[in-house]
Amino acid sequence: MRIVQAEVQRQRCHGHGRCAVYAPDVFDFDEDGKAFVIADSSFTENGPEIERAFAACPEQAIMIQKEP
Amino acid sequence: MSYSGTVSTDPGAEEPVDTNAGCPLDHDFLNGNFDQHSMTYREHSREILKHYRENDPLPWSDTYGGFRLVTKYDDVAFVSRDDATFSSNRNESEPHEGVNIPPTLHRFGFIEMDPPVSLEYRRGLIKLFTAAYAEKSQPFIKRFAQEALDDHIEKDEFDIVAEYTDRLPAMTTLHMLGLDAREWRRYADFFHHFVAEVRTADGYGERYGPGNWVMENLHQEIQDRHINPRDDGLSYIMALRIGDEPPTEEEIVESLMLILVGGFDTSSALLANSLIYLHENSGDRRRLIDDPALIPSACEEFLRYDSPIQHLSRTGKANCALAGRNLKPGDRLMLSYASANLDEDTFDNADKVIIDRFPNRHQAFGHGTHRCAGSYIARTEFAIGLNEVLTRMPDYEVVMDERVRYTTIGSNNGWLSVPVRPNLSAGK
Repeated sequence: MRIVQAEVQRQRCHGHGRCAVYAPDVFDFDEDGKAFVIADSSFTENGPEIERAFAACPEQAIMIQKEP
Repeated sequence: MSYSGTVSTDPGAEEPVDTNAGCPLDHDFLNGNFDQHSMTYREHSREILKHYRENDPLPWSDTYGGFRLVTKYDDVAFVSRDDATFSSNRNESEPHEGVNIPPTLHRFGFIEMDPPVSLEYRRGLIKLFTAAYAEKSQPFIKRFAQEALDDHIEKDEFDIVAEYTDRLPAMTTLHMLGLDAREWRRYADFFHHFVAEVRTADGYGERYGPGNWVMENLHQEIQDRHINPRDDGLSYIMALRIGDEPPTEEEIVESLMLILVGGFDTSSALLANSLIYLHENSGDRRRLIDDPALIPSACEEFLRYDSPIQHLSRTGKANCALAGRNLKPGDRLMLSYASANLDEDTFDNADKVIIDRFPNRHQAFGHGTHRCAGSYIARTEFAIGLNEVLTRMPDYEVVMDERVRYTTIGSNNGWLSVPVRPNLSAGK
């Protein structure tokens, strides 16, 4: 199933940095050390990487939506 | 079954429960006398924590003024995420607060404060602690690692803790702060013993309190930065504004001590434990030599398995329920990262080291707003530090019988000394 949306819940993120390790083309960190989704990143091209980032996040701060 | 130990004053106990079934450990230790600084804990921590997870996941301890040990992964994460209910704050008029049980000689900066103040410190220091800063630091960390090995690798035997696993993080941390990295040994020796000894030991306060070389030197460096601010970590700390106020000199010293203690022996313990493991497990050593790209995931697994910081504590601020027990304001909770990281309900084969484990959501760096600020630097030091050893002395062996562990692993799960033989000729 294709991932159609990926988001970081800022309140939950505490900057562990795992998402940027597993999906560096999708996740980056802002000045507060919190993750954000890079604006022009492709969810379809980075599907498996996003799945790994989702699984690796210790704070369960990443939300993903898949095609129904 | 009878109880040989003292009667617990567990305020939450309704009736005695035999929590010792099948456990080889002495009853005294398990019935309300858990002591993280004891020899029993040092020698048997994994079985003790497993016993608790399976039989009594929130055990009461009468030691150090009384506390509960949080042993399940989900409970440790739950407490760590709720700063309002579970406070880190340490108020000097309330000695049984803060994140250390028993309390340290003085407050340890923003790790012993609550949001929003703790977050003001973190935001102010973030430029020292980003992934980008860690990446930019690679050249000097690599140089420190290579210089340290250059000094000793030709010897038949050397202490890899004193000369390498202590030296590398000490030099790195001092360099980040703008302190004199050439003085690494004086700093490293101080912090090494500061964390290796039990804080309640005779003379501890005299040995590590005000007046020692490290503290005096920190005050001098602060005076110097008042006159000559620089582009360094100490100057960043001094430029912080909490509310609108600059930190006091004492608060600056606290922050420095936090970063030094947090940066030194934690990283040293991780690297030393890993080198011991790879001495004993040549298959994994070979895999890492053949495929250094595995080092980052091995790093996470060693963090999980050996948890350099075994636990930190919180104080309850409201009534709440945890692991089926009711807690009230003032209750002390010790969060066992060591136990959370070995929780079989979270990790498959939790007692096995699997260097490419995925996912690996360990809590060795903690969880929530107080998560270790230095984790990127720590991972970078580890990756470079381990890779240099595996590249330059791939046939090293640890002199296992001559290793000396810390007196207590209750503050830091490390080693005082670990002699190694580089065996440079073995591969030729």
